[in-house]
Amino acid sequence: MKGQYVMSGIIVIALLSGCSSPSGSPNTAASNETDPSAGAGNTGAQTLDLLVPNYYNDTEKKLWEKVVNKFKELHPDIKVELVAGEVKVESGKLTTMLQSGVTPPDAILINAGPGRVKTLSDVNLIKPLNELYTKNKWEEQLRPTAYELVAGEENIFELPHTLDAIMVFYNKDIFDKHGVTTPATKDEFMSMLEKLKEAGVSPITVGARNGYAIGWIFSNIMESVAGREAVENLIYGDGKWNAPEFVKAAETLEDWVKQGYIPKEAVTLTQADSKFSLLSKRAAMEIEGTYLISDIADQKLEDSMAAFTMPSFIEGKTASPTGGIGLTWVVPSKAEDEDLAETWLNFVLSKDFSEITLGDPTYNLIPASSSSASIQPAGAVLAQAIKDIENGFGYNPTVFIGPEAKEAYYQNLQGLLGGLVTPKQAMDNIEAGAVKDRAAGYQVKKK
Amino acid sequence: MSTTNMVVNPSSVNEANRLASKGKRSIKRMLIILSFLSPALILYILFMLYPMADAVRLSFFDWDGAAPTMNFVGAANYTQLAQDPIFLKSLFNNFYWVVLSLVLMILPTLAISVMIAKLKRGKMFFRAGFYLPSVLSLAVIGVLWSKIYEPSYGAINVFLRQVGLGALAQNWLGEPSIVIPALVITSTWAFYGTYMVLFLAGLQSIDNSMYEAADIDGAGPLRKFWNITVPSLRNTMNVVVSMVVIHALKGFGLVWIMTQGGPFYKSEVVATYVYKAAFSMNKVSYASAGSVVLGIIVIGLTIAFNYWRDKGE
Repeated sequence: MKGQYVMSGIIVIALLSGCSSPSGSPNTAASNETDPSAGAGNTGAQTLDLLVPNYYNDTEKKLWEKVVNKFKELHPDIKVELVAGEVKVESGKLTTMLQSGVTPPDAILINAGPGRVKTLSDVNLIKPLNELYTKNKWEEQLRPTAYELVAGEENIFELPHTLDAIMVFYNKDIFDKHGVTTPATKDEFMSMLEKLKEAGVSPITVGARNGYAIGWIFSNIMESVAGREAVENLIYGDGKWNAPEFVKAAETLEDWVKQGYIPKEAVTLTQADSKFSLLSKRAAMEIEGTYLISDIADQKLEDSMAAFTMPSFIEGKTASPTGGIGLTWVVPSKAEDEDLAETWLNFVLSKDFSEITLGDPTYNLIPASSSSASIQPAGAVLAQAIKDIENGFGYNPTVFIGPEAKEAYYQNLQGLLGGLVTPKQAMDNIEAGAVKDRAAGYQVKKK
Repeated sequence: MSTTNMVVNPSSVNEANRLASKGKRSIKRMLIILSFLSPALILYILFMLYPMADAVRLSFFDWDGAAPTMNFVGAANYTQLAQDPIFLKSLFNNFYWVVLSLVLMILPTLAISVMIAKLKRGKMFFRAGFYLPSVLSLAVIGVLWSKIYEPSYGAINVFLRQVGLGALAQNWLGEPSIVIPALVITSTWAFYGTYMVLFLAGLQSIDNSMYEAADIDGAGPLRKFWNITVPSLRNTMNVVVSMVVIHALKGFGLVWIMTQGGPFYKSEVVATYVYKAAFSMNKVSYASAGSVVLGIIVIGLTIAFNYWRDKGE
């Protein structure tokens, strides 16, 4: 009988220990193991923990390694633990990690956007960085546009890492084969689409199953058809989604599907499928951010791929690539070492960082630092993108709108593509989402 | 000073001792039972009952999933759900899924099981072969069938075009009228192996003499199937129907992987909707209310079905 008690007791204890927080054991183990080195930490061997987005490919991974090695070279007394993982606030993983008892990284690179950062800052999961901005003069070290976008509120909770430039990536081989050149006007753009379609080429591919990807193309259409001022008023002012200029933008998207410039099947394609279509020459163009550059490099397609800005459809106006802040650094409230985070963030804004990243032809992002402005990128496509945003950039609404409007935005654009909703209905539905966001107090501001 | 002589009845002492000893044995017995049950019970309480109770609690608050405080809002989330056209559409899609699953899952699976059970040779081969999809992860199945349904180079449309039936080629996951049936077919493929095993087990328990008697009476195969096989599989059928209904109502993985509820909410089910509400729209309490509603429907249907079955017996 005693044996039975002992046995069942052991089972219960074993199961309970298995049930304890997965982070519990490793942390404890780590602290036990690092006890001796904790002393060493006091003498200079500190560890900087960083969390960055999952790598798209090996090229990106190698670039991060280069960046970290440069940092280590400049700061030999700091060890760097760089981990790639899920950093989209929407997925809930990041919020859960920051709320849990786990010690968070010293700095996290997240997908930017007021909606995302606000979710974390409203509940004090990340620190305000105002003091660091003042102490390190970060305002001067950022491109003015980047600073303006994050400094609208009393507290600044983020340090912009990159700027997005969403533009039209195209396959040069297809263009050459069919005698098509990059368009500078609406008419040229439309006749190019028609020419490609007549040649039996799918002109534009979209991975509409992923909301953000259909958001990319629609942001370009809004910039071209409605104009930047209208979009700016929509995001920061009292503009409405169902205003005639945005309904017209929605009608343009619908028309491109009807004309066969965008296949109706795109509604079921993922972004990965769409990228594959472009890179494998199944489609001539895709509207995407500069992130595509690392895929182009990874597949050694540098000679076949290039990018241009969709021309303005408004007489006498010019359009720019759309975007906003792409990736941004935040410092968790529970981060152990703010000093290390500060050292790292200063490095990110430094010329050293810009030189090592922009000096690599496979680098795919536009640094938000002002130091990067004077450096000529080694990659031709990135150089083109940076040149195109010299006079500012348009807005990618996905980054700026509230959660209700965003969900409606993704679903209704999908509906437009699939012919399941009219342009007016789609814009009314998105506006209804925006009204809910506004009622919940969602309003973005910029300096 | 007075003294009281107490007279103790030996039989009552024995009775008291016997009862005490019985009580002790019963406590011991209970402790043993509990010690064996506790591992499963603790896990069940921790990972099932507690989250369920907490979801019910959260559904009465207004909480975004991150804020340190939350406001009590009573039944407001439920009232809002009742007026939310997307939630109602998701609920409808769930019931549509249940009906299609019952039709596509039960009869074909039963037919396959009967055919396999009748095989003289290769029974093991077919049993293992048909069961194979059930061992694949749902994520793998989702990706695999997304490719099969792919409108341009997916296997189904390529096949249809090659045999001259190109007009039937569809954007299987993009057309509003066929997206749910397409998902249900995938789900059926993924799970029919499990139900087939249950049916095969049920078929093995049917007394062969009933078939012999039917043969002597001159009954044909259909008659035997309808009058012997189906009634004998009543209990198995009940289990399978319950499982199919529950599975169809709580389905999330395949929809999330293959359509994420799109296009334009056409394949949205309650599970995907509450996931989006909780994690994309930061409405954790609202999502909890949606989950509670779905939970009540699943539990209610299961109880009702079992009640109906017991009554029938």
